[in-house]
Amino acid sequence: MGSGIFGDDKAAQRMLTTERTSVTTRCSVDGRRWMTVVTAHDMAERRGQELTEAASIGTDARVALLFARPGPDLEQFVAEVSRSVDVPVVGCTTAGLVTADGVPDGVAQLVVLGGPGLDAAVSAGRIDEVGPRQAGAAAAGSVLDLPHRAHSVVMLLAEGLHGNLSEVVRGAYGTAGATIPLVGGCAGDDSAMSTTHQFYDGRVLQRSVVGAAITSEVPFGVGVSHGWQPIGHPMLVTGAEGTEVLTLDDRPALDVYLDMLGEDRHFSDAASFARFAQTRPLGLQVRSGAQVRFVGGADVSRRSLQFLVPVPEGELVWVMTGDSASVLDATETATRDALSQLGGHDPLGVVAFDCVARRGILGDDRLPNEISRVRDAIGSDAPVSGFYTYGEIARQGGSLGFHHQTMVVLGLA
Amino acid sequence: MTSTSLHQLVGLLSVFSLEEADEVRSSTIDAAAEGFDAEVAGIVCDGKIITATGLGTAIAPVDFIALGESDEPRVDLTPLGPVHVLRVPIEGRVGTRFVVARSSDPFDDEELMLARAMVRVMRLAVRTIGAFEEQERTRAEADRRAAENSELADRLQQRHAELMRRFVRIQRLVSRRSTGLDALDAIAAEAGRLFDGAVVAVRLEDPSDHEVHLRSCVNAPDELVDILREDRRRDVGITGAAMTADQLVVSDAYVADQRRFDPMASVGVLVAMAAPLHLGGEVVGAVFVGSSEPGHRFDLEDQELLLILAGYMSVALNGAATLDEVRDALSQAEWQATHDPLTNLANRRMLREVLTDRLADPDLDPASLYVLFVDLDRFKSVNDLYGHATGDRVILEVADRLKQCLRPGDIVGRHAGDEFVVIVDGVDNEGATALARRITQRLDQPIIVNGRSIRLSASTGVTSAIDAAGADEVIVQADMAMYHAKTTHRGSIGYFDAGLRRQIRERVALEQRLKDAVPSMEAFTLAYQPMVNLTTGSLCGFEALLRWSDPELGEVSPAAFIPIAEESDLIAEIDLWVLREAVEEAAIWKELTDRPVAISVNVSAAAFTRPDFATHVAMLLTKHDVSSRQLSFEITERVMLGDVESSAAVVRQLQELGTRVVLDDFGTGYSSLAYLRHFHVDAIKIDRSFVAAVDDAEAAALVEAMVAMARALQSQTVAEGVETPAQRDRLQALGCDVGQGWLWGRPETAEAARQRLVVVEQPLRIVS
Repeated sequence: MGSGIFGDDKAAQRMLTTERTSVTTRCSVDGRRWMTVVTAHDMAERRGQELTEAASIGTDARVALLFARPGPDLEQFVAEVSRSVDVPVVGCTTAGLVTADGVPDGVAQLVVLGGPGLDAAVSAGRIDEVGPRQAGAAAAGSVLDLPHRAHSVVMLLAEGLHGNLSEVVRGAYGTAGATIPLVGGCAGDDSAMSTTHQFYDGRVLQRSVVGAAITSEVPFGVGVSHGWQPIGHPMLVTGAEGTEVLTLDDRPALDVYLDMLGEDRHFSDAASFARFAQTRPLGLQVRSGAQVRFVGGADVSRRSLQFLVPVPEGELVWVMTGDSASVLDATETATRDALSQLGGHDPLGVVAFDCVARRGILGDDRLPNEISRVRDAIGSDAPVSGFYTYGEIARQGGSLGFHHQTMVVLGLA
Repeated sequence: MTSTSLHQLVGLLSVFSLEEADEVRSSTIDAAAEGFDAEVAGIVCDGKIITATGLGTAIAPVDFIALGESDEPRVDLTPLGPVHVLRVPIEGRVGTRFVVARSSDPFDDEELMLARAMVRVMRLAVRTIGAFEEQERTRAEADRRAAENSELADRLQQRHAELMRRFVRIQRLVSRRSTGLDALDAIAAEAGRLFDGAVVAVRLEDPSDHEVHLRSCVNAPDELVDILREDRRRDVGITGAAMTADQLVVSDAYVADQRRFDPMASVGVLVAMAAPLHLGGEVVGAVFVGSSEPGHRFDLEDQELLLILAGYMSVALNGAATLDEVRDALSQAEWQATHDPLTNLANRRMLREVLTDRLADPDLDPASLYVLFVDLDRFKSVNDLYGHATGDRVILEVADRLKQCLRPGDIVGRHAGDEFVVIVDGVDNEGATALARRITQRLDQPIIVNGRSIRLSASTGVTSAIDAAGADEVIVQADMAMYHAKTTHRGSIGYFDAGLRRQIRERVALEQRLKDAVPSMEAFTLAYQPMVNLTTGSLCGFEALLRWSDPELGEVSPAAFIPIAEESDLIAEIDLWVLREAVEEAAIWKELTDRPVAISVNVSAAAFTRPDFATHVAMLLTKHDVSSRQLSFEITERVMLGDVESSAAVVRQLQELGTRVVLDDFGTGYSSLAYLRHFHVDAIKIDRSFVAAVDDAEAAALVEAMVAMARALQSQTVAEGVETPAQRDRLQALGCDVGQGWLWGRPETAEAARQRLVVVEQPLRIVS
């Protein structure tokens, strides 16, 4: 790490905050791995080079992750970052950045990982060209190019608005296999819910999955928690067509859903229902517990519920709710779970993939509380990064890996 | 608990919306992995993986196959660690197993039943696709109107939708019942509707006194129900037969069937079937379905349906009771580990053990110990043309004939699919030769299966054990001798001798050079040969051809090193390098010209059937921003001759990516037409031997036929080895689409090819 930014000062960490950027860096005690997070605030004009310079990346950088709010300058910005950072870069647009101070005003974030104790490679697949499964497989495919190390993880950043994300994860699982955990999230577009972008090799892609495979001499940790609680009794999906659930227990799904929540409002417009439903998902029974499914909308005339992924007939489901306390608890659980898997090594930092719906429950003024829970777990000056997502990816045991309205934390050591 | 399990089947029912059998299989595997929260799942068959998930690069396929083929409930799967394993044999295909493994906790009986139900749903979905494909083919051959084809596709969809609705209904019925037995009654009632008002009866055995009680009965007159309640004998009717045989029993002429239950016949049942029900792996009852509709027959799909319903019933039963005893299967496990399950002959492991023992026997002269390696010629095509069931019958007959050729004390074993090994001692070269002749003659006689006469031959290799270092080496020598025989003349006998040893040494030397050269690939280059649109005369692409220039050996011909690379497992690595280079070159071309320029790469079976091959392709295309439509893969018939199903699946995957698949060397192989049915290739490449002779009327007629056939299959034709303007004109007149050959240019360097792209915007000039 002699050529890096710390010189001989092992286990160093550093925070620099300027008007335009804040930088956090931490290096492992043995000096073999480091993580730097640079967040750009309120830049009228984003400059890729500025972000990269702020990071003062050493020559042993391995990979960079770029999370950026959407904007007209995106292509130029992404190309500039990629040119100046000089390591493989993947990234995506977001529905907000997870920053060290919890203030969601960041416009772009560059996470750089490096050191002789790490290796990384990136790849990508286009869902529109090769289908979701092969795109997922290709995005995880860089793992095939890496020299073997004891521990690996594959991070996926995917288009989540269109396409079957379960298939993307299945494809990635097919490539990475049971021994390599998958983490990541679906790109956002500042809650416009129309178009998201993925970054690969300086290019801005759409309807794609990009991936970074990272290997290390020490373990990674992956924590998953959602914080939603089931209410009422389980119901059977008795009528469904693709992503639309028509009936629950043989009654119109929308009526059952609203009854269960004790809600007698008549939602006349889609937006107000979507806001209501964002914090009241359905839980699907799986062997290992419940999987959360986001209620994306309703058809008032058909009295049906709309989802982003198919919910087949015969599934057992619950209505779930949450409040800010349960959301915050879940954040802490996910973070502590991730850190507990680091094999006793001091954490370098975390990358969080946090569902935008959870952000909705907390409200922006309470986001710092969420991040302070993360920091309580990891220590005050550690790099904290990530973004608000439209769907989360985490697979460790078993083979299920696609989540909704969940917090996924990747812990690095 | 029952309802919990059944919910796991829900995700699986979507397989009825799929149109390809291999997609059904892989979706079932996904559903199993996700439903059981398992890390790995797959289908293994005869030492091969048909489909699997979760292996990634860290888990070796051989380890997964071993896990699937063993019978241990808990296995150490490197590097995942100890896993619990659930295995379900897939009926109808001997040696095929559905395998699920997880690290968290052991599988219970209910999950075993559930897995069986999953396998049945998968088979039913595959079968309906098969039946419709068959109809589609027949129809397509008779009448190729597109409208009808789409109507057939609609019918397939309707049939699948119907099945899905029915299963969802059963699922729903079952989900609401509080106990397993109520659920069982609900399924019986649904079965009555599914089989159009047929009598359905479920009988269960009381473990305390082994009396069999009627549990549910639908669509039966009261007096029959009374009789069924009274009669508690186990071995009654075809339900008794199904319980005893532990398999589906079908009676197409119930009244005349000796196994009939008279009261059932007297209420008018004409055809019937029965399937066993299981509790914790034990048969505990059976479900009977009888139809009194004149002329009705229960077809394969009905039979499959009943098995699925029986599966659902077994899941329900397992939810209602617990298993009290597990059969001591230890001795059975030992037998299975050393014997081939189909033929009951010694398996590979046992052969090795026997040979090792005999080599170590001080009383035995190794000069009198001989090993014969017998390989059936073209057996693959029996499986592919007549199906695995027929293939299995043939193997059984071959095993019998081999046994008849031997003396007491001689050993014959099944080494792999169509390979047998014979170990004999106390003989000399003449004795071993006589035995090999006897075997060859015996196997040359036609084998009759289902009234069909199948004529096979066998190539046999003979070796003495005298110079071999161990059991493995003796078998390898015999295998080489067989291979030599097969390549010289099918159906002949080959001997391992000094000449073969020398040839092998030379080969080994070349193989070593190749092994040294492959990691860096520095001694390899790609040459590019132009391909020309015969209608417009313009350049449309290049075929990338591999060249090896060894510092000591000089230029080594691909004909010399490719077969060695194929046999030494280096070929996949080489192919991936070629693919990478070619895609990088295509990216450069994109910068040079606006025209889309196709690039064609050759790919071997080893690379082609790698599970991650399509993923590599997708990654490379995205990385270099090259359109998938620019890239073609040339495969030979040999690739298809391997594992037809998995190769066809890869062809489809590549086509789904948007890349093209070209069948190379067309017309030089054996059963091209039969295989084309499985492989919808985008183009066929007419072999140079036809092109060279195209002036000849007979060859021209053949080329014309190939073009017509390609057109019928909506494929293009590429003629290779075009050397003269006359050949070009003739090929063009015959309707060939693309030409390639010295007429337009020999394989050239990347630089020269780029130059061509920059300069040539006009029809290519002939460089003769």
